[in-house]
Amino acid sequence: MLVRRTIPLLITFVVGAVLILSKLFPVTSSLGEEFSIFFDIIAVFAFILGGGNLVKIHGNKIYRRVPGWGYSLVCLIGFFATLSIGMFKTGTGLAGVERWAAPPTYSGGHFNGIYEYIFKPLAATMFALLAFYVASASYRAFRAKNLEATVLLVAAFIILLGRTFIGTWISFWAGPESGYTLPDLAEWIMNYPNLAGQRAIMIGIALGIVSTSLKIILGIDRGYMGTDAE
Amino acid sequence: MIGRFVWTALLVAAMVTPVFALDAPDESAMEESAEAGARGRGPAGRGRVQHHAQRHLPPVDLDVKDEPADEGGAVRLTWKPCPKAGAATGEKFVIYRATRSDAGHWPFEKVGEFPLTDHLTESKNGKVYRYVDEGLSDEDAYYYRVAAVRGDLWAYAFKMMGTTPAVDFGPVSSIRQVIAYGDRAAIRNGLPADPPTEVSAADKPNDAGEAIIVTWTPSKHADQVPGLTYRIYRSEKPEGPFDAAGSVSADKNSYMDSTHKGGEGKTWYYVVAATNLEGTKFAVSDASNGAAAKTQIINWEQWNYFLFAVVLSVFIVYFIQHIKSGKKLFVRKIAGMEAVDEAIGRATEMGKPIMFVPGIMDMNDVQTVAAVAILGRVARTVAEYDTRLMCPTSKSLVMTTGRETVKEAFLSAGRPDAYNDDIVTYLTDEQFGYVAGVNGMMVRDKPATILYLGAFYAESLIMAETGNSIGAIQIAGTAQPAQLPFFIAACDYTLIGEELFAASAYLSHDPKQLGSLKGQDIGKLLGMLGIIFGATLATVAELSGAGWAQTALNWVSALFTVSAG
Repeated sequence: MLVRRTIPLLITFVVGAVLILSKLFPVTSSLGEEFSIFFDIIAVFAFILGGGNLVKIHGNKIYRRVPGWGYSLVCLIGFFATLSIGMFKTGTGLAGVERWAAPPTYSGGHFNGIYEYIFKPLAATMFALLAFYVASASYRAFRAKNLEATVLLVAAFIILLGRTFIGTWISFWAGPESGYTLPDLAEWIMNYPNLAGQRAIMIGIALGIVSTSLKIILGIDRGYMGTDAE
Repeated sequence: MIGRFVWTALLVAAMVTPVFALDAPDESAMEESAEAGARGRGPAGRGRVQHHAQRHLPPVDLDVKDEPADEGGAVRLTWKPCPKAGAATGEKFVIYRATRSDAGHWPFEKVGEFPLTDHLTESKNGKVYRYVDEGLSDEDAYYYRVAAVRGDLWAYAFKMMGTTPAVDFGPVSSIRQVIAYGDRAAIRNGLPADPPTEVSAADKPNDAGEAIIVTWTPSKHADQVPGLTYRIYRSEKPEGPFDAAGSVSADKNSYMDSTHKGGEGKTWYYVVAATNLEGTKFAVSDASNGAAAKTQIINWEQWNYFLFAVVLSVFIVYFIQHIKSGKKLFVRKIAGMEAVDEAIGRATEMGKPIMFVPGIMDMNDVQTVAAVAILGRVARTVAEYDTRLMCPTSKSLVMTTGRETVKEAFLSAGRPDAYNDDIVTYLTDEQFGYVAGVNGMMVRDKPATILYLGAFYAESLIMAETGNSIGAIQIAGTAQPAQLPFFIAACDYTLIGEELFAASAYLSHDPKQLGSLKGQDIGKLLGMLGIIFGATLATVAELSGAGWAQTALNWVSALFTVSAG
């Protein structure tokens, strides 16, 4: 109980209280950076656990020949190939101490090649899927099922058109100086109703963060420890 | 042992020998070497010593300054012979000079040569050689080498100015010598703008003695100098010499010198120079007053933070005590959280797993902490229902924390046997790699319920649309305002902003946590009252012009102003 409950709660309280007070007392202002260094050190060790978990999960799948084990094989080959190429800095043309001292991203190395010509295109491909998903999600969201959805549809229609050249073309009914063209209306929606809504959400979020932080620092919320047991 | 020592000595000798065996390079080799030296100069970049053909030692402490109290066009070099006892210092000194060419390299040329007995002065610091190079242009920057030469062997000291923007301005003097010796007019070079005036330095308030703020009145006629920049220099003495501290664009009239950490209490003086785009012409101000960076005990800029924290804590503690005494509090229903039990039940009935996605940020993000707290509640219900839970994470630390949380939840539900480490898994830190992994799991395992709770960015819609396509009940919650519309469009329930932080308390039904929710509501109420009060005051101040309204408005504004410090 002492190790699993009391000490973690005590550490949480002390660190949280010190960081709050460090905002008020300048002499302790560097403590935030100091604690973030501690976090980085812990994260490094956790990263080894993460890599180990990846190998274990996919190794098990391959060993048991579960359906789709071929993907796990590709994953592990990619993992170990990238790891070893990054560690040994192949293709950098360096030797001896220079080779070991150079960063894995050293220009011309195979690691850089993997990043530039394999990883980046793959990540960009995933990101590009967003365009299609935005279209499909918009199609569902913009159905005028009720009053709120209809307001959303009209606002979206004005903003979408107002941010394209077509918005200017079809605003012939209002002079460019009138302030009532579609681009002007789109700007107004973004700057007033949208911004007001966002600010309301942001204020709620800020208070939620304060409240959650206080609950965790004071040991009221122990959900992140898995149980509320005293 | 002796054999190992001999081998080590031989190895070291073999490594060192090539350096010492070089012959003196010809002039073209010197040029190439100069370029290499220029590229490789260190951050301070004050001077360096080259050791080609190092069979005797080079001069040391080479310094290059503007010739003081002249009308420009001359540079003074000083150096010392190598102090090493018995060192062969050469038969003569040869001075080389270069200007930076348009091609970006430094072709050195010989400008002087004299025996060791010339230009020598004795001082309390020992032997010092002085050489004045005249007939120079005030428009250029010059770089020097002084070589000690014996026969066909040579070794030289190499002097460049720093790597800061100060490198290229003025003749080699740089502004520090010009200001130091009082011939500012010589370097003005016809800059149409006047020097900045009323330069003032003051300690930055509310800090730990790390910064001094310099302010000045902008140069007159600054608009006549395209790309005018203010360069700020500092010194421990009002007469200099001054070192470069930084620069700001023409539209600024203040600069914060934040480099005094650890040097608290030392007095500094500043000058501000208006310069042209190329940094070749200057108009330099007078020195400022002296200022020292000092540590303040309390950061008064943060008083409103502290006040809010205290007020909110008082209310939270009050409501916790209130609810503990048996009184009931009304808590608004959160539809998304009401649906959690139902969604888990649905997955149980369908015999399909539940997926919990805790976002892509690490444990130092409060959204992730809130998400992990909710994961604990969900895991407990999952353990009670005996359903399969999947929790792919994008950060190793979230994985380890998540595992502990789920393990404790299974334990407290009386189902420790149902727990295994494969419930919470690590995929990758990379954002879109994580998306690919999570989407793959969704498509293969077809979870009946998916919860997205935590910090999300561009991946939110890609995951939520994939979940939608497999027909899962989706509950999302994030405090990223830009991602909320995507979740609202693609998910069945969405926790908006603060609801994410309230969810853990809501699911726990714990009086203490519900009391904290009420405290949070009081905070919102205070915020709303502040907004209404401030808007009213602003309207009254604008319409009536009353001084009291403006003063009150300033107070309210200060109360709600978020300081970056």
